[in-house]
Amino acid sequence: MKLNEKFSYKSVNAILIFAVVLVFLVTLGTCYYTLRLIDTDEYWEIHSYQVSNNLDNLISDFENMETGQRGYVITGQENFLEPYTAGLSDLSIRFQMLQTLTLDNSVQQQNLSTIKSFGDVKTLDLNNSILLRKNGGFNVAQADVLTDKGKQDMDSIRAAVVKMQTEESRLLKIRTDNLSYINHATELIVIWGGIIGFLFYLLVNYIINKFVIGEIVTKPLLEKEQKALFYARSLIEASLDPLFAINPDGKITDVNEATVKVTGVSRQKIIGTDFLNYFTNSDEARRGYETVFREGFVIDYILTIKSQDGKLTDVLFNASLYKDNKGDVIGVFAAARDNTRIKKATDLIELTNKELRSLDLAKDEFVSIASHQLRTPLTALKGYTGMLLDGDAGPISEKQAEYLGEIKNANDRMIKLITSLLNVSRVDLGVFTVDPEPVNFEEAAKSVLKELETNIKEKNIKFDTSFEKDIPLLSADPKIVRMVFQNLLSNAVKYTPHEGHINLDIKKSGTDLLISVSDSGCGVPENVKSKIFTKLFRADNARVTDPSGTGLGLYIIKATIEQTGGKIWFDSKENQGSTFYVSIPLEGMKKKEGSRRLE
Amino acid sequence: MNTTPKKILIIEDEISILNGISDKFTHEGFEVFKAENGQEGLDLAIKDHPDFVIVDNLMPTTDGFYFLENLRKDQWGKDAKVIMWSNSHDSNTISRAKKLGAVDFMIKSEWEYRDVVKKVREAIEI
Repeated sequence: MKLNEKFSYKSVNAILIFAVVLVFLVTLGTCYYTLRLIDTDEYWEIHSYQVSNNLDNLISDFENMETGQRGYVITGQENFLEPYTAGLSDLSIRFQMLQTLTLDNSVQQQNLSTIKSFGDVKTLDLNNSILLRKNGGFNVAQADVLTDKGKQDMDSIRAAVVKMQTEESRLLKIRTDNLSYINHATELIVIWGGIIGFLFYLLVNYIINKFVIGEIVTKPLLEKEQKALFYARSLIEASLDPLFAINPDGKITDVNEATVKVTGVSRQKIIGTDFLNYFTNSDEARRGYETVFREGFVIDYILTIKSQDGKLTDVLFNASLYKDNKGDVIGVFAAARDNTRIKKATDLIELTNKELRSLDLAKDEFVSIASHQLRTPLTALKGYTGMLLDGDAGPISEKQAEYLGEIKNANDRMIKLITSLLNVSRVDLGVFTVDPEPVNFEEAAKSVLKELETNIKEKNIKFDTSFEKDIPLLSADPKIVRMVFQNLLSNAVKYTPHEGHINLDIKKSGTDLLISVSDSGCGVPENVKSKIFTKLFRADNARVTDPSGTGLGLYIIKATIEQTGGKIWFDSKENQGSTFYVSIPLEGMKKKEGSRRLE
Repeated sequence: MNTTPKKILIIEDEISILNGISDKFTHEGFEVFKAENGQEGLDLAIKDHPDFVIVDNLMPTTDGFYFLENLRKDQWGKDAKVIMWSNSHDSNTISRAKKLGAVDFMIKSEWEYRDVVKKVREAIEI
């Protein structure tokens, strides 16, 4: 049977229901029809009884009339005529009823007509004898009665009634038999209708299942399933990544061709074996799939597959649980990405990084040693110049003191430059340590100000300070804090002219401690504002004002502050002054491990 | 001023610096003992019990830490006042020196000799 594939299961179901309903409707209709027949037959059965009863009563009516007639003839008394009168009255009604009841049957009409004609004769004879008694007296009437005419009339009536009753009995038997037959037939129809309906339902169901669903639904579904299975398998096999399905016992339940290639074991042999068998580190492999069962998945789980011939393949596993259509976990589905090339590249990068880090450390070591070597003679120079200036070697002239002072300044600049270069190296390589401890910023600022006191006085600078009360001790590296104050304050003093003014303000601002140093100095020209924090940069006006600067101070403190969680910025107008701001989180500087301290 | 000069031991491998700082302390009235490495300094310290020691960190053969560690093992030396100074240090050097009881760790090039003398005087409370 080839049916239209578009014939849906719903249509089939509708046909099935319609067919069964049809069978039951036919059965019900038949039942209704037979019940109507029973009803009709019952009517005719009752009708026969009515005819028969009326015939019996008809005889009784004649007998009553005869009894009345005889009583009157014998006695001559009128009251004996009552049964006669009542019978005569009933007789007319009786005939009328029988006439109506037998309208449908011509034979019975004819019989009734015979009875009526005998009845009329009888009635006439009875009436004659009554009139004879009334008018002729007892003897005349007795003679009439003795003619036996009355008995003959009655016998004729009885014979005619019996004939009619016989005919009615025959009809009653036919009707009773018919009713019994219909009753039996109805029972059979109900029982067999139900059985046939049910059988028909089963038959239709069977036919639909076997032929319709088999053809329309089941068969195409099987084809679809096969196609779906083939499609899924095709995808699995198309994967260049080795795929594994693992059951909760850690046994492999399925693999693809890529797995066969990477392990060197055939699909038939690999299925059913332990997943752990195929890795250099079986404990790590076990931990991997146990993690999947516990947490639902793993991503980029590193393992090394060992093939039968000993070849190692570094892989990254992505694995997750897979479930049946009820949502119950069946096992783990794991896809391995060959990571060999990436691992080689990563190893190379790591090696290069290591070498670079090593070079960085070597560079830092070189800078450290170089700075040490450079500082040693400068330290001697500084010491002896100092002793000469102190007069330890005897009195010196003013000019000698002036020259020695120049030597000392140049030497100090050299020492400072070396220290700055050393710090730049440590900042650039990120090897500097941040070791926070509770720091009183007000005291740290005042300590630096004391060192600058001479310069401030020399330039007659008006120096104002504003320290907010109750500033808590902040967790900070004291060396860095000192470096910040030294840099900002010494810059302000350097670039502020005689009679100028400087303001140092330390206060809390939101979640930060805000340090601001304002000066009425030469300011930062607009076109170099973006370069002010770059390494070795010095603005032209700054060079004019202070030729000895290194251009490294702001670079170092910006890098340092930012690496400890703080910020530095500035506002400035050329020839009017600058304000430098440094913010440090009130929660403190972040601790940083490193191999060197800043100096 | 105390008539008995205070004894100071200076351990420094760089001769020009050793002579310079020694001259400064002599000029300031100290009795100066000089050594050019850790072992020499240790021998002098244990023998002469100076009031103060200035020791360089980086020196050939036996360095400043050799001196300091061994000094602390000596009955007298365990409480001796010492400043370590150097022109080079890493982050561990300072904490190591402090742990060994050094009064301070100084960067040589940042200090005028007169300030070093001042610091020593404060340390030995002259």
